[in-house]
Amino acid sequence: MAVQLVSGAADDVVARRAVLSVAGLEVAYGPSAPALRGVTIEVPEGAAVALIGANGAGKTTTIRAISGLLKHHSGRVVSGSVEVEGGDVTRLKANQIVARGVAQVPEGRMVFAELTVEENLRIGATARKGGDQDGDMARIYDLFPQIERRRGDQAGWLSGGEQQMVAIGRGLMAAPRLLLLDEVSLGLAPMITRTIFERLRDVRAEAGTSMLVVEQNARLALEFCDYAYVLDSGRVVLEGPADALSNDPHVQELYLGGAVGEGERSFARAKRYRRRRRWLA
Amino acid sequence: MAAFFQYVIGGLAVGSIYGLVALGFVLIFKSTDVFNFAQGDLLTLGAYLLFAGVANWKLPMIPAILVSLVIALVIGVAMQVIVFRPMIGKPLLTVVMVTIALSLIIKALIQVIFGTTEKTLPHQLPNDPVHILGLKVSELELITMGVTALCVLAFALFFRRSKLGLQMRATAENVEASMLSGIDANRVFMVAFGLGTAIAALGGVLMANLQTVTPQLSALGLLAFPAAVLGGLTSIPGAIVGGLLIGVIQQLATGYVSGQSANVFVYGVLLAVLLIRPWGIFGRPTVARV
Amino acid sequence: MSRMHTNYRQNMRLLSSRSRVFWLLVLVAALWYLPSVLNNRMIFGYGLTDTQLLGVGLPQVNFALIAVMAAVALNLLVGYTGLLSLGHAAFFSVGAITSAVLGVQHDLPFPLVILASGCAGAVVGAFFGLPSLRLRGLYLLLSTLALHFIALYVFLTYQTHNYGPAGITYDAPSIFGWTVDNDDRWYTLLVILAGVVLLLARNLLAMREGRALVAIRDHDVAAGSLGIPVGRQRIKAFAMTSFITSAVGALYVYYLGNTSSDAYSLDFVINYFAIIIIGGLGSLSGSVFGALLWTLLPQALQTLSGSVSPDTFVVGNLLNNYQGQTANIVLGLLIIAIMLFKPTGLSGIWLGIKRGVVRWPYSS
Repeated sequence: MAVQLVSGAADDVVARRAVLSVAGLEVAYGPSAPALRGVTIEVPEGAAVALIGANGAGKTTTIRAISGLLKHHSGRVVSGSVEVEGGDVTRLKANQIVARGVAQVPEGRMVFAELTVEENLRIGATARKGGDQDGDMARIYDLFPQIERRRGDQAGWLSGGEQQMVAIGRGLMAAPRLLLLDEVSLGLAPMITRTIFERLRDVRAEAGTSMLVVEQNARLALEFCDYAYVLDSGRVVLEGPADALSNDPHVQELYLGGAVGEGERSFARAKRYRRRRRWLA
Repeated sequence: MAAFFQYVIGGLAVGSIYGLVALGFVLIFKSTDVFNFAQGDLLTLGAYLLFAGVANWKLPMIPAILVSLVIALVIGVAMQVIVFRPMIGKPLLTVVMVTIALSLIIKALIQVIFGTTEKTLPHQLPNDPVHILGLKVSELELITMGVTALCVLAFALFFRRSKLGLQMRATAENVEASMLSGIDANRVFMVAFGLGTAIAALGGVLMANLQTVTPQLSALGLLAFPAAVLGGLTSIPGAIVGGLLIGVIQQLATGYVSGQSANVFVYGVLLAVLLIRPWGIFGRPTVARV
Repeated sequence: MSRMHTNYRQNMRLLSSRSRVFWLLVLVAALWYLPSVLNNRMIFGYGLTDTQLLGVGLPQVNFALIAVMAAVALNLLVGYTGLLSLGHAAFFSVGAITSAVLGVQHDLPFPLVILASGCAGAVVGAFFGLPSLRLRGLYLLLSTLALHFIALYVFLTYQTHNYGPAGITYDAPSIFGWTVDNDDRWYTLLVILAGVVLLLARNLLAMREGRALVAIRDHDVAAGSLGIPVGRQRIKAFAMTSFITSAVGALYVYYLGNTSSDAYSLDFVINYFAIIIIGGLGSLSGSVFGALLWTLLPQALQTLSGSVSPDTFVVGNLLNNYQGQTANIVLGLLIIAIMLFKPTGLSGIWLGIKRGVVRWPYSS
């Protein structure tokens, strides 16, 4: 199925150097279960790129391929490449990829519940050599004052939103060039989610960190990011600048709950629509 | 009454050794999820290594102990790299079977290399009786308990303060998250196995001073399991406490009933703990998703 | 190979195709001929040397048959029902005690003694099974470890009370006047009993009961939600398998003629675990392969040691002086290799070969 490029503003984003370059990535789990069928994604320097799609589309698999966790989940790269700042990372171990400048904020947060908040942050800097770790930690506490108050508490006792901040802080402690955010909004109240994304905006402004945002909440992702890819069944089916994608009728139909101003839709209608799309493509 | 305290002291001494072996077991289990059935044989290994150092290589006691510990550490790391690294992710039963196989191999190798006759150390750690508060304690028993206490302290500091200790705690909790934080999980596993083996070997070294060195030591090493369960399979201080309790129970049973019955009492306690409070004294009940 | 089965009836039939009947006849004939081959060292007129037969004689085969039955029982418990139990030695000892009490002290007829041993084993087994109502996996393993030591203590107390350290001796048994006092007669008896045990096991597995056990192993909560009485089935599994094990234990002590408490060690249990792992967990043919390998390997090594001089570097010393240990090392390495590369064990390899031959040249 051909990839549709939706043109619009912010085309210059694409012209910048790529921090992350995934080309024709094919991934399978176990002996023969294909999960990605030729995914091509780029994250230019300093940009925020969204990866949206339904459950099972392959978003987490893509993230795993980038951060080196495929083997841990019995997956493998069948073909294609993943390059971080020009260097191929498909053969590297996860901790080596962190050393290369890619940090992941995993789905479900995965904070170390028995370690304190401070220890969680400190662990994030494991792969770093030198640098101003204390200064970075202070900056993270500035960014997320809620967790500074609880720096000596065990992370397992924090609320969902606070844990998400800890997880993000842990990722930031690695001084990453690229931050992978996997389902940050999952299970969080809208207010907290909004706060977190605002802080992430601050991080982008201050440090220029590139971000790859995987989200089921497509609206949020498209608001935050410059560019977006839509994954479906292991393939990229749409890509383009975020604002253009927001206005695209297909995206609106399938991921944004219908065009603005329309009445109630039924799920069956969406399913039929999707089937029709695939048939026509 | 004096006999009672005598047994208790003896039990605390030998229980410290069980605690050390259990500590090694819990360390490995907590960090790598491997239920090391061969842990008891590592105690025997340590005892024989010390014997080799003192009797065969004619080293003085302290260097012989250090050499034994270093060799045990290397063996532990080798086990992780050769046997357990390929096993990562396999089901529990498979891993248990592999450790059972290792137990077989270690036991057999020890017998092949050292023979099956009893061995006594040509010279031992100081063993003169000391009188404290009217009770007779041997220097050796004091040394054993002291060494164990030092180990516990060292471990506590290591885990709480050092960078590697922090990494081990994180990896023990969540391997995936630790990998994403930049931790080299394999290195952590190697350290866990190396330390776990060395600590069990330390127990063996002390045991070799307390009694003769025979392949039957593995039966004593086996007591590390009830000790670990009693303390809580994932609790490091629990392992020591469990070991001490098991040692005391064993000595009391041997003293008041018979040597053969000691096992019944010890394992009876294990059974009771499993049925009533399987997560042990210091553990926490785990909630599993069905 | 056999036709595909299209209903349960076909699935349950033992001889589901003509080729199966043929192979069964071949097997029976081979088993009939075996004693004379081993005793006379000749097959179809050709002489065989000791080395060619790997030093295997009828006694080894008899031990192997006993091991087969015990391995089948253990495999049913551990491999098929997934209950990690270290009670194997304890059940053997129950058979030994019951035989001592009923057979030696009270001189009851042999078939009755075996039956009674089985029943005693079933009762003890049900007891061992009680913790399985609350515990799983590792914890169950440890609880059976505890029960092992407790049972051992009971045996030791009985032995010291009534017999002393020399152990308990058993006279040659007789069945309705037919005294089983030499290897040939034991062979006949054991082959028949082993066949019966295998048949019973196979039938069990082909029925609802057997499938229920496997369901419990794979996912006990789901099994329970389907209406399988999980707790009861677990106890039943323990009782059934320990019935067999204890009966075999009784046969074992009568065959040896003597037993003592140090035979029922943890090493004994571990040996049997090794047998079923190498043979293949959850496979009846695996139990047979594993038991054969385990019992015949030490003998083979001993014979091999005859051809290797003790001065040969390392190997010579190992083979000549430490056969038991060498066998253990070899078998331990075999277990690790199997767990790493072919967790289905020898039976898995065998099935792979069969499939390869049948599908040739399309085998993958």
